[in-house]
Amino acid sequence: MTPSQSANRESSFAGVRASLPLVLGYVPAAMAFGAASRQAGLSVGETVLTSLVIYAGASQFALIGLVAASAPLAATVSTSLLLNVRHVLYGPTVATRLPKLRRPTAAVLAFALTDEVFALTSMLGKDRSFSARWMLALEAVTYGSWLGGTFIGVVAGDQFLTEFPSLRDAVGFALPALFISLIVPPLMVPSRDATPTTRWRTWVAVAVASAVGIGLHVAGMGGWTVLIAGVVGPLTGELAGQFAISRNAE
Amino acid sequence: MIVLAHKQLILTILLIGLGTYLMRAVPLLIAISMGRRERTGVSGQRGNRIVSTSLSLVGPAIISALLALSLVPAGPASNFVEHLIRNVIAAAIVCVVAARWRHVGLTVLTGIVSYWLVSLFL
Repeated sequence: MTPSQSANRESSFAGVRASLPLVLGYVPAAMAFGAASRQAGLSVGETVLTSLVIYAGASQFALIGLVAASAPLAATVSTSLLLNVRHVLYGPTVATRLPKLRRPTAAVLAFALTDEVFALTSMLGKDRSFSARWMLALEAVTYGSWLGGTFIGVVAGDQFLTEFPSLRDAVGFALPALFISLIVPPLMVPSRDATPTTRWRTWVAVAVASAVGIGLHVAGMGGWTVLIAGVVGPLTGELAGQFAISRNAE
Repeated sequence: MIVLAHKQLILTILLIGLGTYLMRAVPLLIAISMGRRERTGVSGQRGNRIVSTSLSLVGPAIISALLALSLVPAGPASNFVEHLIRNVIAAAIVCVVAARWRHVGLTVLTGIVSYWLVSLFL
């Protein structure tokens, strides 16, 4: 095996390893979707097609809810898409992490750019195994787990989790735990090259995004919540950073 | 009970899938093109530095917003405070593990176990 082949293999294995915490959260959620979809009256094929083509949890659940309520096609499509509108912010951030990404590869990676994949990708440090190949491996495993979970839910239902509600809730905490694992270490133990201004900027962005997100969620803003928080938080953080720089310059 | 015709449902699924994909792909492809122009010196430098630092904040901001929303309980108002306390306690335990060991897998497992343990008492 040549050195480049060895590096590629290592990169792929690292992507697979990185995907495992996401799989813990995806499989139960996908099972719940599969079971709920069948209860709403969708066939096995329609349910699996939904996970195969859309691959976005919130909008998939919204879809079956709207279909079960006999909502018009336009309302179903627009509501489901609105729930995913925050995804427009993900691509530019990923592009900064993979500056040499080729367009065909980007077009493939974009399909599986979910919240959790984005979170993991955007928060990685200067890990040398981080590459397009790493991301492809990560996305392949997580996508596979989502499809597999959907199929299990369709065929077997989610009775196991229903009979053990505390276990279901506990497994449901896997995704919040994942988000914590990505956000807390850089905040509490910043990298050596992080300046006080950088740390201040990040803290402000995080605090504002959280507050805005909760406020908009309580106000019932639905799918716009995370998008608005994802814009307002960084803008505020950047302004706070510029203010700190100008004060230090005085 | 579903009343949407099969073909209309398939069309709905495909439209949502296409729209979701475009929302993910188009900004990424545009950002790659802009990044290439920046590296060849076509775009201005200071503006791109501000955009670049702002983009570096998008990840933490989105994740913190998603985290905040996931900790706010859904479901009946009668259980809201109980669920919120459960979430906060489990999250606090997870934060300690995350800061101390910085290991994603360990942190996620801790989250599942700690939530389950807290739910036994609350």
